[in-house]
Amino acid sequence: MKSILITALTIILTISSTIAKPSNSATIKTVSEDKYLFEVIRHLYRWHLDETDAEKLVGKDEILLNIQEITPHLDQGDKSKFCDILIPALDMRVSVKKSDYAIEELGLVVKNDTFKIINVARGGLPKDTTGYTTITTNYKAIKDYAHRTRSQTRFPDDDLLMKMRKSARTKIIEQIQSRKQAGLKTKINNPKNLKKHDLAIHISPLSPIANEVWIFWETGRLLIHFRSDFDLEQPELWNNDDLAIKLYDIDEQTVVSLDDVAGSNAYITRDQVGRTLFNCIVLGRRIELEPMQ
Amino acid sequence: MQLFYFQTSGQPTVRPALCAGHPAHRPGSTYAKHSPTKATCGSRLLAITAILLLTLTTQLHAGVTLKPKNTEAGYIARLLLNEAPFPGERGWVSEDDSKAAMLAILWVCHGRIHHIPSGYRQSQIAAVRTTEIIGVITVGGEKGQCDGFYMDANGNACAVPRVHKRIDYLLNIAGKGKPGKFARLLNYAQGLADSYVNEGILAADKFAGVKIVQRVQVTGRAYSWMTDKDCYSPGGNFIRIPNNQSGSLGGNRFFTLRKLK
Repeated sequence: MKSILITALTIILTISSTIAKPSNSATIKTVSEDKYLFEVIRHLYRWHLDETDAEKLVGKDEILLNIQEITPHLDQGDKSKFCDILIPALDMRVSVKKSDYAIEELGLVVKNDTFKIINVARGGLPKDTTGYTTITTNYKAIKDYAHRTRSQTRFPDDDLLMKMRKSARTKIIEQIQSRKQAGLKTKINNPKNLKKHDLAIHISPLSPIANEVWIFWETGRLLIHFRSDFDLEQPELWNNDDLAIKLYDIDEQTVVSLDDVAGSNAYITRDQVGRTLFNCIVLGRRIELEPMQ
Repeated sequence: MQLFYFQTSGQPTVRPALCAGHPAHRPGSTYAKHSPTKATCGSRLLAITAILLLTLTTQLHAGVTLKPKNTEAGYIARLLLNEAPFPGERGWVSEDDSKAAMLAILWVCHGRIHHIPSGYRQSQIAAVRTTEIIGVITVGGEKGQCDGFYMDANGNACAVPRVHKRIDYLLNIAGKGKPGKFARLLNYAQGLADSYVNEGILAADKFAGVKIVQRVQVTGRAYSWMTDKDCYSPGGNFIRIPNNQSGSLGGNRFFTLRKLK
């Protein structure tokens, strides 16, 4: 009986993840863990992949991943770790970072408990993967996990949610007031006239491996993107949230293709907006903010 | 509205106006160094007033001085600061990385005026025909080539309030304790902008020598950058400069141009 169990366990481990070129780097080991890679794929599944990507993987039993630790020149005392995960079948590069440094001016330490996705890029993968650790992971297991957890969401606890609400409300009011002061167009004439239902926002779920959250404000048709090196659940971030925000007016800043506005850095694609709205409205949580007093 | 400025040759050139006031009167602007024909009132009172105004509008914090936002150097510095990450922000890698991003962005703006590759027209790359960096930065309005930097209805170069709010915030942090990274980055941006206005870019363009990207012949130099995620390209003939050619700086992806035959 014992030998059967050992054999079964061995088979499962072999199927789920095979490290072709083992690395001694703690970073590579952490990033290569099945649990982590499954979360990466789930994040991609939710925020980046679509049918055309899935079609590239039809019939494949395994996904090959190339992983490499990146060692940029960091400031003195900065112990952050960086890593690239290449997925050749999807022509995709996922860059991850585990921050660990101090901001002396603020008396804060930016420290992540796990690697966080900082960028996802398509194209431009190197042909020569010398120096990468190659991992072959079972595609069916990943697909099943991504499918099984596609609606699974996690939201901030009440305390953090309160901070996010406060921050979102402040940003919305500031946005209206400052644009009016600057003589720019606004959809809302007077923020004082906003009723509670006018201040309904949709918050996207938290990701365990990305320090970002999107908020959609219905009435203002505005996307608010909080992204940071801090863990979003680190309370200090919300005392310094001006470091972490970017706003998009979905009416003005959405284009079908960035080719429409070649060279400009002001736009997002309809595809990006669509995914964001799906995550905010369908998977997210609707909250009504207190009107401006 | 466009204002006429006078260079040392005395020949008028048309330049876009910066917010509030005549740049020819402002120390810190290239044009302030020259003697404007019309504005040479010889009035010491005017000069003193200008200095007082400058002092009042210059953002001074412990160890950091930003030129007023209505000067050319102040405006350029704000663009560089807006596009580069500070500690704690997404895209932060290091002080050197953020500084390199600022320099590369300045080179993009400069290249869109002075290094138009063979076969291209400036309007194809910069969406404008201009010899002025302010024109390159502000083209396309509030959601133009440089998000948030635009000409208002009166032809004044401005930025959306959130740009100034963030910079105020950065200045506030920089003023806490002894000058650190925040102060150095703020001062670096202003230093770059000052040098550019007065002498040109003093540091090399790290993308000047990029001639082949992924087996595609390119023009060299970067002509665009995009912030945040780079899963999409800026379109047209822009070619993404990959990581192994240092195309990612300060959370920005830089793009060169396909070489035309």
